[in-house]
Amino acid sequence: MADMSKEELQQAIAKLEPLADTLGFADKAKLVRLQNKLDGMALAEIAAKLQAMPTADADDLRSKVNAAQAASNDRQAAADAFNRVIGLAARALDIVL
Amino acid sequence: MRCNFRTLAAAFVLVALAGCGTPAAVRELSQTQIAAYDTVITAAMTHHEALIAAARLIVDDRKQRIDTRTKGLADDAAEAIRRQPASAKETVLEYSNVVRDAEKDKARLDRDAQEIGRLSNQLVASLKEMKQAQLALNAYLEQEAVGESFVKSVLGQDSVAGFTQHVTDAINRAASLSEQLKSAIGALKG
Repeated sequence: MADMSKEELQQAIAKLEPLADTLGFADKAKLVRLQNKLDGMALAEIAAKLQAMPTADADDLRSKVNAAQAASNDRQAAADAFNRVIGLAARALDIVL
Repeated sequence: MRCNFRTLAAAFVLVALAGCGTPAAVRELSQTQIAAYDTVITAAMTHHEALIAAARLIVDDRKQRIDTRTKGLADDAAEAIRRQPASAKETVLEYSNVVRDAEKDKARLDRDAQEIGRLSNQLVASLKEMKQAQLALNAYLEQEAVGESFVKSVLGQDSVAGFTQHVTDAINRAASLSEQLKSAIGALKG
């Protein structure tokens, strides 16, 4: 039961639920455990969805912006610094959005 | 929200058609993208608050269901012991396992809700930093005479039109994400 997916839990519950009134205690307990486990997974999908959206490292991005601004007097250095900043931002934009 | 994203996407296309390849177009595009970040950040903050509120409701609701179900099983356990006193020890052990697992299931709800809050907050913070990066780039663009060559070397795009398409795609994905999150929130409440 520990590793059952949401769909597997739903299937197992669908098999037991119609028989609930005729089940012995052990099977009733199993049904309750399955139902509780399914309720406990209510937020799992949205949490997984958010975890699958890597974001730009805010501290890294900030340090690169500072470096780019500090290098603004040197055209090539500024271009290189901005290249790193926008590279990070664009990568995050691609993934996040 | 989708309408706003679509409007912004259309604005990007107009910018490309009106002045492709000129420094003015690059600067205008940069300004427009700053506005786009504001829109995306506002949307992300709204989603963040809606997600937190929905997650709290779901946690309370599911915990109550788990408690009610688990307490209801106590009556079944008492009835089973009355009918089969010889199996009382097994019945009590089985019921205690259900109670133990119920606590784990409730703890998972709290853990997932906390993680949703943390990740959603991180998404908003990241978008705000990306806007700061765009503001810094904009300041550079305002003081330098740059055009297509800058777009190519810095943004990795062949032309302003290419970059515009890149941003348009990103905004459309933002609209899609907005819809997905709204659906997810709706499903959670259901």
